[in-house]
Amino acid sequence: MLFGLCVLIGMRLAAGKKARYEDLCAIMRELRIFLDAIDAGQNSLTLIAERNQGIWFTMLKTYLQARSAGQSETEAAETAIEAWSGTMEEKTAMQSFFNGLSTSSATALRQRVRTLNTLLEETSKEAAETAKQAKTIRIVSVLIGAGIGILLL
Amino acid sequence: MEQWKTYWCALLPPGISEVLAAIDETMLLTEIRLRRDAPMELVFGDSDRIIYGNNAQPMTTEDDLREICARLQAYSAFAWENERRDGFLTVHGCRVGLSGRMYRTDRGVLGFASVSGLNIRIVREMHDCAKPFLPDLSNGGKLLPSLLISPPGCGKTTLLRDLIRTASNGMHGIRACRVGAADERFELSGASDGSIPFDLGVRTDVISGITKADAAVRIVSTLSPDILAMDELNTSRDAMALLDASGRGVTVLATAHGRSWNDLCKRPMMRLLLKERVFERCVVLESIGTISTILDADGKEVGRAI
Repeated sequence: MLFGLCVLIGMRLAAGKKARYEDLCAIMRELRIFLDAIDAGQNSLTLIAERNQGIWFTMLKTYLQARSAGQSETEAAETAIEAWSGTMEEKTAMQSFFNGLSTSSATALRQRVRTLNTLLEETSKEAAETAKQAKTIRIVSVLIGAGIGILLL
Repeated sequence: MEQWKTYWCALLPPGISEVLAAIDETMLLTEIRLRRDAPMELVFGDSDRIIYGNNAQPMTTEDDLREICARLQAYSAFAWENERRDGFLTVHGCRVGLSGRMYRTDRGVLGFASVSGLNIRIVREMHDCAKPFLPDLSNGGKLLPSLLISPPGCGKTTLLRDLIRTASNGMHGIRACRVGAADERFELSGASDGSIPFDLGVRTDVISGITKADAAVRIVSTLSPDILAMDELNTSRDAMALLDASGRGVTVLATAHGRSWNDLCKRPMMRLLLKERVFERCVVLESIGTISTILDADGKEVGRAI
């Protein structure tokens, strides 16, 4: 029982951190695609959002739909990140990214992406670090579980 | 409901949409002018009407204008920087002129710090409006190189669009041929988002979004057109591009601002084009629906059309 519990806790911890790290990496990949699309020329945000899939592009789509439905920039930004499972810090950064997105020039847009990317890189490093620690926790918990098992035997 | 009405009523704020929806189409609305904290001006050809909001309130506020601009740009301001810098947006084939405070840096004019007014020009496609002109503008089934002149808002672009369509489809006794259109401001094709909402015929290729001169060079060298069409001849570069195309055996169709042959002769680049006989016909449009004069390369009247 104890062995099973230790292993389960360790694995849940590791999986959760790994998923968050992978989410952030996916968003950063999407931001790179977004930047490429802007650099490639006269695309509208709607077209870019429609041509691509992923967590972040879904948020972009939601933001644009909310704007078209008459929401203000701030409200639309809130709606866009509502369902996202980022940390408080990440959510704040993402919201300020979306707030004002529709009226930004290409230069301002690139700067916004860079700022957001920098923050996500930092938090993803933390997430990667925690994922590593979680892996260690998992190994330790397996060892502890195994030790308890041997002792009981 | 007319196509323009459906589009603009959906895009503009409710107060303005209600006024537009009630306009009788026979009145031929040509412009909607919105100004910050001011009533709305509706232009019907030669006359206009000033419309106030409820209790003599202004029709548009600063917030309204900001939101309208965002909608016009499909919430993608970054994609319209060049157009804004030139003072206009072309949406659904309609040119929307901007006024307001612009800013300038060492690198030149960069754009609008705030928009205080919009001039929305309503565009209508008028099929066969060029038909009465064709006997004087063609020879043996071939369109002659022609220049259409008039003050703004008198239908030059509409007439040019129909001439392009006629030549491209081969209609009304005109032999079908390939047409290349240099459409800098997306007004001929209405193609600001890549689609072509206006019918320019089956043999027409359009290059839009770059200067007319640059587009003309590309059209002539890569698309081998029989006819090159250019709306609003403005700069000497445009004139040189037309001269070059004409020298390569391409028939040129163009429009320019002006009220008369004499007005044309006052502009050096026009004098050059007339001297080099780039145009064999010049159509002088006076206003929508009135009789237009057709001149030959020497400025002599050869015909009239409505």
